[in-house]
Amino acid sequence: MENQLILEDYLKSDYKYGFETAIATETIPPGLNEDIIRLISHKKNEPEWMLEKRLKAFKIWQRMPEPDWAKLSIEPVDFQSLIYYAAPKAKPALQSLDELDPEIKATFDKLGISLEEQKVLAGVAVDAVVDSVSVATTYKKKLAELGIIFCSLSEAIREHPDLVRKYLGTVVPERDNFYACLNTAVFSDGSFVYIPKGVRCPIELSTYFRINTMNTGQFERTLIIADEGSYVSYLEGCTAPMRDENQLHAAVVELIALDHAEIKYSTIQNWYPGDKNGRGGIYNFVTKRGICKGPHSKISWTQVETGSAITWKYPSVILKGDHSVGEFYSVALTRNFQQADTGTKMIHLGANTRSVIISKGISAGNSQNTYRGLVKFSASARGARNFSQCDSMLLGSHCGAHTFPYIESNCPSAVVEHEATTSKISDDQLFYLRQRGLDMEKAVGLVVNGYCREVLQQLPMEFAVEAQKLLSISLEGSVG
Amino acid sequence: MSKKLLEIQNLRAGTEDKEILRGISLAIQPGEVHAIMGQNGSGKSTLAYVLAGKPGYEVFGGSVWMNGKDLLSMEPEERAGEGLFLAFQYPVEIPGLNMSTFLRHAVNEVRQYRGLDPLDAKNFLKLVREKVQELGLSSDFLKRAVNAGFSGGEKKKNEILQLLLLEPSLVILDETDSGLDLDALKQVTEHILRLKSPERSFLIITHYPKLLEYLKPDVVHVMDDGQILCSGGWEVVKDLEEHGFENIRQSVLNAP
Amino acid sequence: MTPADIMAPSRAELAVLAGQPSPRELYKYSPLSKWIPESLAGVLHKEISTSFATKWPDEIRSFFRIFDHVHDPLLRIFLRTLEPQLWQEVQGHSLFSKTALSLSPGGIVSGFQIRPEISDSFFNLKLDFQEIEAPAQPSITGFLVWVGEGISADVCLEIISDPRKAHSVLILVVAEKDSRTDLNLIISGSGQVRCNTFVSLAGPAARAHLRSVILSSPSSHHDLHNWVQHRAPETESNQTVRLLGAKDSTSVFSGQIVVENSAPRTTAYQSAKGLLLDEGAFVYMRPFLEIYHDDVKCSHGCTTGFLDPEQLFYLRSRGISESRARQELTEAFVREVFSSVGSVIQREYLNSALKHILNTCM
Repeated sequence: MENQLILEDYLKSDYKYGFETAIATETIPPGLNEDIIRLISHKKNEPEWMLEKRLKAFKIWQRMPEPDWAKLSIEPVDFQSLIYYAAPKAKPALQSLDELDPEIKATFDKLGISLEEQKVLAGVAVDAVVDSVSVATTYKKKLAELGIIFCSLSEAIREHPDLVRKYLGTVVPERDNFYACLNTAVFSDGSFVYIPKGVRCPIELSTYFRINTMNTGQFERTLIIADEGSYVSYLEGCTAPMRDENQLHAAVVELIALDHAEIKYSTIQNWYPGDKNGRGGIYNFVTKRGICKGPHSKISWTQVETGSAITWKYPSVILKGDHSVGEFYSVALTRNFQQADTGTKMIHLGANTRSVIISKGISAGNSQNTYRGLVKFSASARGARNFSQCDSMLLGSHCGAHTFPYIESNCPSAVVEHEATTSKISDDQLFYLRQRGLDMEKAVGLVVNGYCREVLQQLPMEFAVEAQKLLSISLEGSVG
Repeated sequence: MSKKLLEIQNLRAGTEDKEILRGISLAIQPGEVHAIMGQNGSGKSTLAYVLAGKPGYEVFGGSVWMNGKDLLSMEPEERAGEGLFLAFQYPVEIPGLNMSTFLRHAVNEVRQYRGLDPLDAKNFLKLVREKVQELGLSSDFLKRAVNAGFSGGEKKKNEILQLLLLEPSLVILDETDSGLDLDALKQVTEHILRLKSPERSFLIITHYPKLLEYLKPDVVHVMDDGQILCSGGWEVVKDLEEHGFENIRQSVLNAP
Repeated sequence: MTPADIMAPSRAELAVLAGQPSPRELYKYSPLSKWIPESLAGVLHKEISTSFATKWPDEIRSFFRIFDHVHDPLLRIFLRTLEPQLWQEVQGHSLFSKTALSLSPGGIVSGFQIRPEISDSFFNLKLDFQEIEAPAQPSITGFLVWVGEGISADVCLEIISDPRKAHSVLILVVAEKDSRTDLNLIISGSGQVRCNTFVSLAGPAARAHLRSVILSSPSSHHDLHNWVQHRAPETESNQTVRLLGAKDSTSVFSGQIVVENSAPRTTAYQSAKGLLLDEGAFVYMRPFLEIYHDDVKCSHGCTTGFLDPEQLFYLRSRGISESRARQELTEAFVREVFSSVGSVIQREYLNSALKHILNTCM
């Protein structure tokens, strides 16, 4: 009983990082029409084919209905009041870290973020980060020697038009869904990665670049191509709180793995989730999908979702090549009035394809946390296998945890195994830890981290450590 | 010399991509008790599965003759009809299929293979009830689903029950002693002992000598890495008990 | 407990209402239009969102309010078109000391009288759409099983689909305090049928066990949707489902467990397994959990696949031929569902029904 009270008490606490910063940007007028799209394309100096692609998507988008099937209650978005282009011209708002809110500074320290990065994240004047930039430059050189292309998508459209044209929109076509279509019409920028044949990318891409890849705007677009026999691990986002003025984020990520190639994509998402009464916060409507195009290819998604008012995303894999492998590991933590509807789709087309889904949902406060996933075996997926494990943990009696798996099989030799459990956090475990002297907060943090272990260990080492801390901090509140 | 019941000649077999049995040869005469000992992973269970015809195992070479017939070309059910019985180490659970239905089909199909008339329901039940009682199992045993929710001892007894009913000429016991406490082991062994006859041969797979103390094998084979390291009489078991497996391997390998 | 006690929707229920799946979601694998009689198609478009059966006396209406927030279009239509005098008939039947009955909206199932076999402890019914004379159009047939306080109820329903037309069957269960309801269902036939089961565990410690077997024939389309709602504390539900997919058949199981905020210490389990027997079979499974309280134990397991090769080998190693072994294992797969039926008579009844169908149709 006492546990219950303490839990409820501290789960009501506010997001610690919801600070606002004025940023000077070069913007265009709000609203969306063909002229705006032409303007965006022009400002980005794009070739004609890209503009055509955008315009085509816009035409389709205008006729598309907004989706409403997810278990989310969403205040309508006024698409005509949004600003669709803002050049990343961030102006520092603070002169030094001393001006930073001490509480935020403490959070940064807890997360173990370096001083240099803290400055960037907090919007401190960037001259001091020259070191980091030069580190980045060094790595860029090394990558170039291997033939790896890693640049902004805008740059790739100009410098590597053949690759971009060949693959952009092939995994997530503009018609795919409402937000992906909008993204195709107005995407601001994002990352482009190409790993040549047989090359194993020696570093976790973007670990060293996350500073530079920030501020890509609300309609981010990422394209990663792993050529035959190559390997890449890509990291997106960071544990540090992300400030942003944009309400709607509708990113698209496309992954393409050719024969024997492997792509590992890890995400930590910690956007502003709104205040404790559910006001404000980011809408995170992302379309992420990869295709295992060649035989024996592999795509692995790992995500830790703790932020955003509303998260709506299903990183998916189309298993086309025979013997290809798709994986999805997810932790989604919601509290206060956050809503998350997330999961994956594993579309098995090739023979002997394999997929694994491990999802851990934790809901607290008044939040709603939904796993939604599809496992589909087409008639051609002979000998295919899927294993899914979807667990939900509830903290407090006012939240909701939901599991909506969809299993579709048209192949007698394919096997699906799906398991799901929903339960509250174990009082016995909490009591045991508290009896050993841990306070409630630490005990909950440890239990939750243990519960998520299977997923967290999929993350690259240093990311995993940060993610663990992030989970504990996200659960932190008014205890003790 | 009497006719051989089972003759394995230079058998090489394994799974799709791995050769586990690397040339096994042995011959069993009617009424003989053979034991195969060896460490985990030496290929003992693979031999049992290959003899019983488990799908997923492939034969790369060699031959196996039972009653002068080519065993390897037969379906698993034909081998059962021929008189080969494998008592599984881990009998699979089949929820929904009740014991009496299962046993009736097995008994009658095996009888049919052997050219005997099927037992009618009355005679079948009489026979089965008798054996169930003999094994000290409760009468509702036949109403339960095959192996579903059985205790370790019950599963092993169920294997013995089938053995009693199918009257095989060659019994392969795959680690029948595993997972049993001493009392249960003694019980199971007593039942097996009662099954010994001049027409019935045994191939006992184990890595504990305990079971063999009761069953007194005529020939003991020591298996290692898919091959028979050495064969002999009871002295091999003693040797193994006293000196351990590793010593035997060394002495065999160092022998001229 | 009077109907009024179990009527008012809770706050959580209203929240559920906001996030209800659309008809498109509910009828993803079988288009709604297929299941609606032409005479009622208009109702769907005009009045689906309004409260049903406005012509009914308050007492009856409030009883059905328990299903008010279930946004299933078929249920809506069914309740809307029910005639008030049916309620009188309902009251006339005495079963489980309360009421269980069949309700057919007037005129939809023409020439068809449901005559369930009713006794004090069980309710067995065979609903053979193939034998109903010339069903001119799809029909909706409904059953209400109202299990009073402390009562145990065993309900067996056998549905045989009709290749000529799509039919739907609705089963509404209201379970009061300390009651036990066992609902056993076998769907077979060569046609199209959709069965929607709505179970509301309305009183504390009410328990329900739903066992369902869905058999298919070439080209059949069988669709089972269970919706189990836990409204009161310490309620328990259990669902066991087995599906057999024959060549070119479509089998759907959608099982939703909803645990309201008003139902702490609830346990809810669900096990669904599908077996695809031939190429061209489609099996769809949607084992959903919707939980609004933390003090619960809920889980589901769901598999689709083929016969276990280990089991097959075990039987063959005992001398049983492969085709016989397959047959026995297929039967065992579905029979497992009824192994937990408490009443021996009921269990025998169900198993012999199953055996009959498997022997004649599969």
